[in-house]
Amino acid sequence: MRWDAEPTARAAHMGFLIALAGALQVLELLLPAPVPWARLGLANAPVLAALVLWGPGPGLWVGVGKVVVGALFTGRFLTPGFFLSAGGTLAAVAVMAAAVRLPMLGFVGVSALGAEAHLLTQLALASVLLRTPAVWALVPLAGTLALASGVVTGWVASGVVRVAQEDLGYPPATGGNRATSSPSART
Amino acid sequence: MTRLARWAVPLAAVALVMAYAYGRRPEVEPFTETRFLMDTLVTVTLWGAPEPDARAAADRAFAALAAVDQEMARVEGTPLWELNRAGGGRVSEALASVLADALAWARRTGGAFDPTVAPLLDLWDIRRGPHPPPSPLAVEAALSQVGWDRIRLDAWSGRTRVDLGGIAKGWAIDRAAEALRTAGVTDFIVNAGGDLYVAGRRGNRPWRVGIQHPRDQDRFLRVVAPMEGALVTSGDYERFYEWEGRRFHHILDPRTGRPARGCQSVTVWAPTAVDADALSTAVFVLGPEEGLRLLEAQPGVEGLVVAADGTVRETPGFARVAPEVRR
Amino acid sequence: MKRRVFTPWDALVVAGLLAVNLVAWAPGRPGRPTGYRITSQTGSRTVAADTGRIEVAGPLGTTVIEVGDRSARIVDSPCPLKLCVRTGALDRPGRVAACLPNRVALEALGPGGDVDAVGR
Repeated sequence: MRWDAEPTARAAHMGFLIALAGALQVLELLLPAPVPWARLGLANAPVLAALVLWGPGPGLWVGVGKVVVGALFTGRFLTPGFFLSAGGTLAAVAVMAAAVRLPMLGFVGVSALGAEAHLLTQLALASVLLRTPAVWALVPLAGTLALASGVVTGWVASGVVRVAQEDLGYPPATGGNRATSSPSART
Repeated sequence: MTRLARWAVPLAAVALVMAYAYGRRPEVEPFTETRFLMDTLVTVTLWGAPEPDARAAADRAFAALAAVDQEMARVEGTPLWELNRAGGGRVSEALASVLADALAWARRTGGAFDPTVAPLLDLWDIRRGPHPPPSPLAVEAALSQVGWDRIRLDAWSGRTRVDLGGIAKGWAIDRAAEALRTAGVTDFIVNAGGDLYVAGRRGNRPWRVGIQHPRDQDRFLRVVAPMEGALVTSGDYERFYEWEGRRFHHILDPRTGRPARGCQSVTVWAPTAVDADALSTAVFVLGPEEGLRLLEAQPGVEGLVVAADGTVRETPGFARVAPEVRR
Repeated sequence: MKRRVFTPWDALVVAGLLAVNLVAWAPGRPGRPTGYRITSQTGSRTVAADTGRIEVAGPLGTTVIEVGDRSARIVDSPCPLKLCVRTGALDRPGRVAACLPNRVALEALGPGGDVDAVGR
């Protein structure tokens, strides 16, 4: 089954990733965290998978889906926490969408950059919302945890993409493939 | 697209570093002003008030301190000086209040705090600089003029002179704190020569106070974030000289007539500076054992003592009212 | 070509980010004073770091202050106890050296001070 021959299948798969991201997000928000702001961030794996499989647009949609579904199901929609989450996710999508174009980076590297961007953006927003730079004191610990979660998430995302490519027949559409081939194609 | 891609990660990295630097940008500094008052250096530190308001509030605090100084310093022309010269007389409400506090603490500390040590202070005259200590006979003579029980608030009896150095500063600090609160300031430190009243916070974090190490100028014994209240320290390093290898300092034991030898320094936390001031002197005079017992007998008061041998001891609640902060 | 899970560049990225995070773990490096406030009987003034030798008049005579680029100190004062000279160099914002008899005080100013007041 070729994905470009089956737009319906693609839509279904994207819907599945959005649902998966939202569900993981809800799960993580509801699970007791060791520290209030420390979460595994597994919900970012579908976002990265969508970025790799289909590019920035779908990646953004999965990210937005994750944030909105997660907030709606936990009663956080339009609360300060929602804006922190949304800002962090948008930054992560932007950074990962850019990083995915670099052929030399693997899933782990892209994901780590996204996790760090997610955290720093959240802290920046929090420092504005709370009108205190004190949150930056969290950088060492929270940043290191975010990095660790980014590594795990990257690995999980690679699994999702492998399933999509090997079992569902998606081509390696973006990222390494395109970035290495396009220069020669254009010259 | 590729060119953009090549730059994406470096740009992202730059953005991260900038975000990071933004977070570590220098904080706003508090307003501070310093003046010589009460025979010491007084610094008022304010947080959160805009400059003209802060200056006006600080001025009122300094005025409150100066008013106490002009009444209770033992220098010519003050009401206290007149009182000592005449051996009695009518006093203002403020002076009566400080005298009453002083006598109450003298009673409660069994005379370890004594406002009538003036003859001894004059005899030792520590601030004159290195000179031979007074003879035992001279100390005895001065001691015979010391005794808080010779003072009655309704009548001054016997030959003695009052020095409020161990308590008026605390009282003045309380008045300065009062003036700042009246001016609407909630976050401040009044620092009179290292005796402090600490109120509120420094923005997003508590005020941090370093407690001077009594033997190493460059070190703090501890850095603490005190609860709202007074933190007053008495140390043998504040005013002293050395003569033939011995340290002679300004905290005199009213019972022996000589510099107290039990402690290097004593820090007392109390809700008011007047109490912390009197107690830190008394505990220093009593020494670590008896001093800590005295502190523990006072409700709502905690303290930290560096004994003469350098060992540090504290009341069980000191870490609660003045928790140590990570540096 | 399929995207790989982990490449040497990833290792570099992770290590770099880790370094960025951990830099913040190092306790804030002691800030150097950016200036000094000299208070005397006649009032206060602020001088920049590295101003050099300053003489301040007081009731007992002249107090001599030396302001270097990293620290400042009272080097001489006409007082009996010389506690101000004993205080030594002020190398962190918030540190104070004072000659009470001659009514001269030297305070280190600037951000990054480790304490807001010294209890002594």
